[in-house]
Amino acid sequence: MTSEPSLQFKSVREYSCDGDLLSVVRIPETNQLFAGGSHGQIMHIDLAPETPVVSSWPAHVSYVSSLVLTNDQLISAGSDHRLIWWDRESHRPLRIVDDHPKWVRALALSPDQRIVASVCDDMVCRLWETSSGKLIRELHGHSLQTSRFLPSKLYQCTFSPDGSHLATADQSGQILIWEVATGQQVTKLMAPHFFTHDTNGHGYGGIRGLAFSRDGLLIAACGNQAGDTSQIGGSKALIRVYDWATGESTHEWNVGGNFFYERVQFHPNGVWLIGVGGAGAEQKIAVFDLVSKSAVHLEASPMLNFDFAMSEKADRLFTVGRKDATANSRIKRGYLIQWELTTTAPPAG
Amino acid sequence: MASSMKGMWCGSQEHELSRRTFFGASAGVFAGGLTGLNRLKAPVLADELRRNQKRVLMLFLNGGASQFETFDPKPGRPTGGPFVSIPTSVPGYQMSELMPEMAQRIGKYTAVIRSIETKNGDHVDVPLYGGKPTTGVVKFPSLGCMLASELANPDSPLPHHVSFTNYLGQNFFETAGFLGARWNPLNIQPGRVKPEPPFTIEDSVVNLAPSGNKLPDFLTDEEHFKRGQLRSFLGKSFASENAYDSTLNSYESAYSKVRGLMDNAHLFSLEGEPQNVIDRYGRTPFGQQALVARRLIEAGVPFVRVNRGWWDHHGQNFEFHQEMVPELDMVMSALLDDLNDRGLLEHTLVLTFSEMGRTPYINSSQGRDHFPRMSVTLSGCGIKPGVIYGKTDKDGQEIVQDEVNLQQFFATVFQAVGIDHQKENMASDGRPVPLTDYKTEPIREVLA
Repeated sequence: MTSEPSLQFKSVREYSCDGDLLSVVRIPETNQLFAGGSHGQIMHIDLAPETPVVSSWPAHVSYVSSLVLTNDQLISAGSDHRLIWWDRESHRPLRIVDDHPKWVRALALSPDQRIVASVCDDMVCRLWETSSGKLIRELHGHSLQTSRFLPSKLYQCTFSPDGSHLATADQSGQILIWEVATGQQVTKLMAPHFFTHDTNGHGYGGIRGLAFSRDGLLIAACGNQAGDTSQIGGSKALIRVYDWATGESTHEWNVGGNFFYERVQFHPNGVWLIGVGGAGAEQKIAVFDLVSKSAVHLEASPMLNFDFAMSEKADRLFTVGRKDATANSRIKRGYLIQWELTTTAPPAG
Repeated sequence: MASSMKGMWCGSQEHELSRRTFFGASAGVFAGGLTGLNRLKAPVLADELRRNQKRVLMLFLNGGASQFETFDPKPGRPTGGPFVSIPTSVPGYQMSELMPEMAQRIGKYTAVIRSIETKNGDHVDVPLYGGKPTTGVVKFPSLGCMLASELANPDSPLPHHVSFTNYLGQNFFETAGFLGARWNPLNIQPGRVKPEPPFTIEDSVVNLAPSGNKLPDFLTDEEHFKRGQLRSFLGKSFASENAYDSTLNSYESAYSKVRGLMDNAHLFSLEGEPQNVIDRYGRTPFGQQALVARRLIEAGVPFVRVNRGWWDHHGQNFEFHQEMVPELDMVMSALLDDLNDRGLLEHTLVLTFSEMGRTPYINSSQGRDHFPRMSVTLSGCGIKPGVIYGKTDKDGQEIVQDEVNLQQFFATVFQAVGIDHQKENMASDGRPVPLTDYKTEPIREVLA
């Protein structure tokens, strides 16, 4: 008889569009979301009505790779090297920052909403004043190249819950922790399990998702382990958790199958960790328990997932990605799926 | 034929070279097949070519490089992927942002053909043979072998055709078919530390030089030379008392080639290269091999191919191309600048080529699959730089202007280095086979 709660997933709403949906952010306390697509568009999607109400507008030239939301503004980052501030209500552009030389992969918003961090494939993290768009400082520390002298990528950034620290992660499996107030690098974690070279010399893998625990003591990283899905060979999805002060790896999960975990977040209960991903032979939404170090639930996802948002109590999950328009179809479409999560407490006694 | 020329040499060094050239060609006839006789049909042209010392260097993008992430981007389209395009030194032409160095140089060095139709959608070597079948009774020669046979000085101690590979995956080794084995490439491949699979990248050693081009430790160079003199003396003694022996000449030719490799071992290294030149090419195996290729070209090797693989990205296409395309950009721009600075580019044709392109469609693994249409580039000798030939539709699905087939591309390559693309060789079944199909026309718009 299990002593742990069980979890059930149920897909309850779905919205689809042309192109992939790559990024999502949720308006707190609502079923309204902003989603960014591979066609450069941003959509405001209200899933509350029977039929979703959607408005979209052209934002970037191509991929809208990341979105963050303040009380009154939406900030987007794209593979066209731009950051754009938008009025949350009117969707009009307020500010364009064109100072990145390469693909801006991810954004993170400080808990007090004063700072937005961006990471770019020039391997620099930049901190910007949210209110003015002014550059506060640049954080240099990630290697420009992999160990085989090929260009590296800077995939992720995230603030600690108290806003005092920022973590950035790259393709080679380097996680750097920075003191936000001073820009000083305080820790370097090496996570080489996330990266390898295949027999053709390709750099493969990288840390695609990053999250601090609710108490700020742990940091979770996700991606893929030492395989080569480009060769249809197979590899293992990987999540690892570290005590970032000591550098010790506290948890590892390489279950779930042949795919990349793209995003990871800690559950509000502080005990569970949620990862979503795809690309490869399998696609999953996974929940892991930090206490038992086991998988609580592995949900086969109908689509390749690129990002997700969750409600305050994590009873609702919103995943974005792409999948076949119809069964056996080569036409792919972007999807936003709303999931209901039901936690069943273990029987008493 | 050799015996009829005996005793007619006047003793001058210049005439000695010409005589040896003749004998060399003849030896090649008997050692490599009857088709070498065709070389004698236009000796004036052959001599002119060799005097002009034309060379060809091919960067072969093994596995199928994506035209979308290189020379024919479609930003903002559903098929375009994440990367934007950037302006180039050719007004109106944009390239992928992943190639900023070549974007500046296109107008100076390079013509781009965006409309190659290979009719090939698989990892086969057929495109290297111009679409000709690689099985069957008649063994057609590859482009590299044909170029080597047309451009080489048969008397040169250098190899005629060198091919570098820097990865462990699938490769396409060219053969000269009915032209004869002497035009096959010298293949330089990675060494494997472990003899058996499975391999990891750590199990391979990238080679810049062929194996066996150094003397064993127990033999000094002087001893080896003396052995060669004794062998030659005994061989001549034998030949003077016997009818012309093709086996003997084959051994002579083979020994000369081996000795030639040993004498030129220094070319197959980075020895003596300034650090800033090494850095310019980059520290990757591809960069290092391209630099050695330049050295070989400079020394007079007529055809060198440097393979970079593996471009077959059915998954994570953008992540891999973001790594490999900037490397190509760095190596290609370094090579063209270097050849130009040394005064070699006007005599050297540099190509980028692949066995196929990649689909406009992006699959579930964020990859692109096989596609028969692709882009190629030609730089240097005989090429009009800044020409952008051919066009695909807004999504890169169809060729909408100036489709080019492989035979036309080959014809263009031959013409660029002054070779008559309709010149005939004799196949093993006795019929004449032109370098390119009859009535093929080169793309004259890209020719200078």
